[in-house]
Amino acid sequence: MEVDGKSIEFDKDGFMVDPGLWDEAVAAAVAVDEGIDELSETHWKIVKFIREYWKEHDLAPPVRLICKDLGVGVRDIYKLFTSGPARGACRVAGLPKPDGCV
Amino acid sequence: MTKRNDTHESTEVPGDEGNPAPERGVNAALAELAASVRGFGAFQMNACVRCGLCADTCHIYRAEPDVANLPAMKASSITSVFRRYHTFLGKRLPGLVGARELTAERIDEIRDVVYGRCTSCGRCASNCALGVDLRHILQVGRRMCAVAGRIPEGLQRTVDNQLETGNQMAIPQEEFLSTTEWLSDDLKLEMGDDTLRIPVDEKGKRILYVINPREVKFFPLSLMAAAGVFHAAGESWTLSSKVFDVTNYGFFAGDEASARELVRRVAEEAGALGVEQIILSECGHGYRSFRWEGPRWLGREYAVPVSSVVELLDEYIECGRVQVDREKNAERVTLHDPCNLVRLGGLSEPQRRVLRKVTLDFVEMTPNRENNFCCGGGGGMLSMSEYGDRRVASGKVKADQIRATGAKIVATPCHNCADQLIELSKRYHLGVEIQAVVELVYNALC
Amino acid sequence: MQSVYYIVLVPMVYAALAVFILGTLWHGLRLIVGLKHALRVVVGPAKNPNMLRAVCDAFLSPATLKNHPVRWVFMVSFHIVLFLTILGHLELVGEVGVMQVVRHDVFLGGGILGILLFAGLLFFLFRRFHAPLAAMSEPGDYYLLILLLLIVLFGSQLHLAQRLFDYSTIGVAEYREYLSGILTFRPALPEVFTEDFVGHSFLLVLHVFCANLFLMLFPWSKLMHAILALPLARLRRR
Repeated sequence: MEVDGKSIEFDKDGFMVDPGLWDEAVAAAVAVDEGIDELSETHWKIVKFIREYWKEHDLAPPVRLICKDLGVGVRDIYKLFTSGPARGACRVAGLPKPDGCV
Repeated sequence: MTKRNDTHESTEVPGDEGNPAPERGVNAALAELAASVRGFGAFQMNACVRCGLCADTCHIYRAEPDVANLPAMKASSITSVFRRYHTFLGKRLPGLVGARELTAERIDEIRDVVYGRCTSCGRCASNCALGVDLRHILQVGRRMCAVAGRIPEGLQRTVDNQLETGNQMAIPQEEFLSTTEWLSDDLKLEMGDDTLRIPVDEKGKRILYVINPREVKFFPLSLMAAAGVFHAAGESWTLSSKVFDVTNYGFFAGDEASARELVRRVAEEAGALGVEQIILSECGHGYRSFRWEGPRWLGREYAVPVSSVVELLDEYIECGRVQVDREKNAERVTLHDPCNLVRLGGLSEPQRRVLRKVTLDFVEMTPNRENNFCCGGGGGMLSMSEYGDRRVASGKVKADQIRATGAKIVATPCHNCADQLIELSKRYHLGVEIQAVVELVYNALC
Repeated sequence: MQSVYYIVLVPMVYAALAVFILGTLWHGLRLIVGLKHALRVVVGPAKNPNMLRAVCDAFLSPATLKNHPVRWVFMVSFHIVLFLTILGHLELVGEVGVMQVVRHDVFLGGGILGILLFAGLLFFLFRRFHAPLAAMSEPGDYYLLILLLLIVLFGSQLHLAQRLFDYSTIGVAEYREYLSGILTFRPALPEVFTEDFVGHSFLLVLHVFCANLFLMLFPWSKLMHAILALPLARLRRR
């Protein structure tokens, strides 16, 4: 996929091959693929939180932290990202695919 | 941690430490094949007449009619090796009967087939004109790859997570405890009951509830719903913060030593907590592996009965332990039958009885029950990114089935299927919501 | 020439029968021993584990009927015709009173069975040249079908030669003499079988030669599905 003249590679699951290339333009492009035409302020809050957490822990944050730290209701996450936090939000945040049953 | 070494030991064939690794892998795979075909296994491998009638029983072949996806052809990647080493004609006239030598490259071909072109859903086997258990043959292929050290990376990482941290998503114990506390708080508000809490590590309760770690890390609504329903039923239950994972990626990988260890931990924890019954959360392969394969791996029956939470929900509603109002789920609901729970696990009716009681407009998809199509995400497929494109492509069959029902909600008693269905809804623009059965029950509570 | 005829019609027949019977028995024994192991491998809930259902699965394959009704009709009629043809051979050994409940001339079916079998085999063979079956067929699959085709071809010719073209030198009486001799271990060849260039005995020799090959291959090839279908169905029902 081409974003702002950069060519970004995705694995067969749609996650970034090189998470280091992530920037806001990439996030917006992946979001469109997720069916989110325009990322709202809450979307951005969640995406950036996931990104920061991942940089620090090399792991996707559990949904509890996203909700508690950002004050988002647990049921709202699934309305914001219909594919859920893992295949939805983590993908927009440019993380590699979390392991396991997701 | 200690058992981790077991799996490595099993990949070694005594006496050939000096051989280069690929050759050792081939020898180990051949030894595994020989063990698998002892006795009746040989007949499974011999009986296929290559009639090809299994072609369209397979969702992967239906979505992509390539001969490489034809079930009998997939099985023949393994049976051709079997013929070469274990049959009269195959040893003498390999060319005539299509018998092939096992090499490192062929192991990789088998690996592509058994992990990347098959979800072990067993639909071909139950539709075979002769009754050949193709699923079993392909599972032998997985075991051969496992002992040859060729388990796909994503799958292997998940198995390692499970063995090392106790759950497949490497959730630390403190995180588990914080999450259950957080969910208790939310549930208190939702149900308006201050006495409510999610019990953890409590001894002497009736039920040990074992869940899919996904319910802690990414999708807590089903755990919350289960806790809500248990509370409404006045159930005596507990979670364990040490052993809470019902999934078994060792089973998917074909790595029986790991699979056995995972099953042993749950059985042991149930004993330590002194519960009367183990209830498994809505997890297809977890049910199949723990309920049916587990006793074989352990070589003994469990001390307490094991059932799926859908059976418990059915019981609650039938005996009136919880009161439900179907008007609360007014939208059209259909049900996806997880292969491991229904076709291979033998559990098809409780979830239907429950859904008919808690929803206004329940419709079946066709085909259903034992003859249902796999969602495409089974067999550990979701953990193997390298086959992501094939997984989504093979889901077309399921997507068409769902679209034909006109349902708004797809209920499925399997978290693994749920993940695949969520992605199918997105990729095929189905616009459906995926829910666990327990979520719909919670929704309908009076 | 006479000695070739004799070898095919007597010693080779015994050899073929021996290979067929012993090979199948050997597999049968392994089957019984292996069943114990299989019961440990096959796990899961029991599905109506009664024998009657297993028999129904093995002989009628309801799953195929549901998925491919047309092909099911082909498959089942082919096997019925095959069964009747094999049954028909009994009357070439001696008189079988039961079979004359419906009066008919020996051989059963007046030539129809052979033609139906031939058509069925041609259908199976041509199927194997088409995708997707072509790609998954082994050379042996074609050879077996061709062998069967030859057996049916020569067999039909034997029957039609006698019936339509009045080659009356080899008839039911001769077959009975020959086959009952074989079965009672007092092999005797009617003279007409071995006389050079008389009648159509060469067809008989070709028919028997191919049938011998078929019997010898039976225990070592996928033809064993005839025996394995029932235990496999039984296992699936467990």
